[in-house]
Amino acid sequence: MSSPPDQSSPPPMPRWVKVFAAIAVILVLLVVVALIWFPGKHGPGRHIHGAHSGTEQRLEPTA
Amino acid sequence: MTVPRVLSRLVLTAHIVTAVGWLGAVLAYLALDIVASVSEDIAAVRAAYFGMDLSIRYVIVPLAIASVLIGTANALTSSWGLFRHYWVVVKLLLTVFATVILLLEAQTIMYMAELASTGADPGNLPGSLLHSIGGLVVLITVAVLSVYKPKGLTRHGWRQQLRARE
Repeated sequence: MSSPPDQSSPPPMPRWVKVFAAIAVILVLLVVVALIWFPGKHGPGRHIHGAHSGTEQRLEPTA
Repeated sequence: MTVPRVLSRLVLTAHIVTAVGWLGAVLAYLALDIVASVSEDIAAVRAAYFGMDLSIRYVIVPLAIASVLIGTANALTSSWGLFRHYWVVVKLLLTVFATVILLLEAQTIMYMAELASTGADPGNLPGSLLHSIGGLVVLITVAVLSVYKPKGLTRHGWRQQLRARE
């Protein structure tokens, strides 16, 4: 359980929450950079595009 | 919110079952996703996509939505509350985030499964390994938060505690 709160001011944000927030910001930035660096290489559009190219290659009958 | 103990226990049980079930389903999905992404056996890849489609459609998405709804109900009917403790807020954010990404990705998986079932070479499909591993990491993080319940009152929780002491 949490320690009793100070009557005068709210408790500071715990360090572990700050670490989580920092990791979240870094991950979001990485995704944004990846989206800018490789436009159209992420998301449903990428998969559908890749899938369309897949349909062009028909399977050869296997022995 | 004050509810009878029997009801809060029922909600807690449903919360654990849906959350752990979601994690287990993602692990099973990951095994299929690995086959779909790395196997060179066309029949195995096609079967993997078929299994991924079924599991995401009838198990993972329903469990994810149930986890968000029942998890919220569980927080509101317990002494922890929904916005009183940071660990509950972080859990909620991670769960909602994972569910939104899942719902977006599910459409892609269903489409890829449909293509894999045709004569196209399913080896050309990109799979969803990165999303599967990311989802698993998020769900394990949520489970760890649930067990360890790290300390930390939010401003809202602090105000509520002060009011309760007055």
